[in-house]
Amino acid sequence: MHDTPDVISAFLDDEPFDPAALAMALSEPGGREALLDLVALRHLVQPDPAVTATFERRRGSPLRMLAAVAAVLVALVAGYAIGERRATDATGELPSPTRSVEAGAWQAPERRGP
Amino acid sequence: MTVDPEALFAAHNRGLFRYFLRVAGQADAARDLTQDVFLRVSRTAVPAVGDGELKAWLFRIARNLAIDFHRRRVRDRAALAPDTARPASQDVDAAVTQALNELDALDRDVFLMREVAGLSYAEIAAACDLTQDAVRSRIHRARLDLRARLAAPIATRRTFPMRLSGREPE
Repeated sequence: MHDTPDVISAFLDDEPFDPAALAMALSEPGGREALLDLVALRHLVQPDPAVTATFERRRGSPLRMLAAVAAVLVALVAGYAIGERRATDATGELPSPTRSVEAGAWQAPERRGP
Repeated sequence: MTVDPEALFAAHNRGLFRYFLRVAGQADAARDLTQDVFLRVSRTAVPAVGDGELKAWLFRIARNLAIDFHRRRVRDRAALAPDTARPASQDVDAAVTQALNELDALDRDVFLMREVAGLSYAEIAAACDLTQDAVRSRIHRARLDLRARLAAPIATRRTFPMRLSGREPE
């Protein structure tokens, strides 16, 4: 089996080959069997199209992914900075945390006795 | 000549993924390895060469990653499950993966670069530091080895229509 000439491989791979050598190889039944077996082998080793299709759908450039991660980080930092600024601005408008309340007459302690 | 990494990725990620899919046998690992190629590319000066040489350069990086992947896998298997050899699966795809893994590593890589990634002999020769004659010889040897190891699935596949390209109808 291992004496099958490599001109068959060159032919299968669309590489330059010697036509006379190929004709010689294919004039033998073993050569013709080898050709068909190697085409069948080529079919067998192809990756599952469903898996490659999944990759095609999900693929994204690593550079694009890095850009996406950078965009998310910028958005988070910007969001934090804006929130911080608003909180500072809002603090000025808040009422004083301490409020003085004058006691009303109804709150005066009742006097008892002489 | 300036090479746009985005364009490089768009042009070659499919071939690299198909190559890694057969090298690793797992889609997730193949996806990670494909992205690793381009992360390495993004940290390196891309050589100012023609398309074919650029492809060969990418696959040289890919082959180095594949070698590292196999080393890690062998080490992890040795560490985690030294005596748990699993019987060969009857599943054709698993049988193909197993047969590929039993080939000489360089024979397997040149074969996969040609058969699933579509590189020419010249591109494979550049990627693997071989002559084109050596590439042809190694690819043919790999094919004959695989033909012997996968005789039954090949016989079954021959009962269905085939294409010279090996691609199934869309």
